[in-house]
Amino acid sequence: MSIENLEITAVAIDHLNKEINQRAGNSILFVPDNWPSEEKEYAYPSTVESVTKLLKQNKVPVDSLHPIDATTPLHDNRGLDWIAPTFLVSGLLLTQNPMVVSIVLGIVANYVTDLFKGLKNDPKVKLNIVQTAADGKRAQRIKYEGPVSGLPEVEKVLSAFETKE
Amino acid sequence: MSDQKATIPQLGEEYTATAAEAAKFGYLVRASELQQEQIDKLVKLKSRIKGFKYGAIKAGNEDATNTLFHLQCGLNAQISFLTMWILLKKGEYYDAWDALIDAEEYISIAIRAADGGVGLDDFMDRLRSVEQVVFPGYGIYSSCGAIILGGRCTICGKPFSECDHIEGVVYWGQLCIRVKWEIVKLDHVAVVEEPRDRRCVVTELTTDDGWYRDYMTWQKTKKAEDKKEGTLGSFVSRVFNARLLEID
Repeated sequence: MSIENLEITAVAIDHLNKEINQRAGNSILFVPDNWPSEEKEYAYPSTVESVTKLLKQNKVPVDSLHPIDATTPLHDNRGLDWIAPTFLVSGLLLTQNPMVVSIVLGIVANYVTDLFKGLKNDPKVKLNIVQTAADGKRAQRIKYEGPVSGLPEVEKVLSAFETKE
Repeated sequence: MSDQKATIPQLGEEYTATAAEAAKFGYLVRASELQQEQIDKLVKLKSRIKGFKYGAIKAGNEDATNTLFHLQCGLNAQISFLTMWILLKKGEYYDAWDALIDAEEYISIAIRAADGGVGLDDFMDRLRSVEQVVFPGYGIYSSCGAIILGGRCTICGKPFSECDHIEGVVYWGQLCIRVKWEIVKLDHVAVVEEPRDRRCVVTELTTDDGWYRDYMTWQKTKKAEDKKEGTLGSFVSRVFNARLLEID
């Protein structure tokens, strides 16, 4: 799988306060697409509810920055690309549960593959992950846009981050 | 109505025989009234299969309900395909295109509902060939993005955020999707090569002779306005389709 589907940027983590850090230390934390941002308006992709249910059913600890309910603004995109909700994964969580991202990506990949059965082989997915270092002082945003079969590449980038100084 | 009895393999055989007969009428040159007769037969069998599906729901057999839903969607694909030919002969080309896309989507749902050796992959190949040969080909479509709120689950009717059902998954012979959501803001309308809904097609576009033309017939529909600087021209397209397939 080509690395060209991946875009990695450093992100400012002023908003990663103690509470968020603690929540992200215990579970995969879904955040709005524009996070971290000063803007008050936010939205989650409309896939957030199904992905949350799917992960919970697979015993993956999952939480969201805002309550996800009938009042949550959701982005409904009508393109064929499947857009995953952005999630924050902390170094602390990875220390306790090193396989968590691999499990999440596997579950998402199976779900999306099933969703497009008969219509499209190897559908395209868009995925953003914000990863923070275990000390909470550094963060990077990993943006993946490519075939669902390429999702395992994302995990390699996450693993490499923790070993960077 | 008297109680009916049949096993799933028996219904499968009935399905295969009816679908094979209907397939003989999946050509432009077949008479519309004969195609309609086949549609009536398919609808009748579908109604019978749905009856058994409700029986399986009562009996608490989810695997059976999903297998029967698989057959139901396969029949709906056949019905849509024959409907497409009838609409084409009536000159209702955009409705015919919709019927073709319906057929493709029914096949996708059928495959998700249950594994089955009923020739759906071959049927999908046939639909894709028809798409290329009968229609002028669509390189671009419209796709809109919106901010929405809420919505309900088609399986349990609860607010979508409150139930355990996952969008796009088949439960008890029904497809789970979010319905009755509220649009709070239309975000954008884009031109894309791969939309989620391929019914959102270009219907008219301007050509160099200064006219709008119908994309299907290529007939002139109206005089085009002056071309804006830096643009190739204008087009009219469907941006949203609210039609629902039969999902239960």
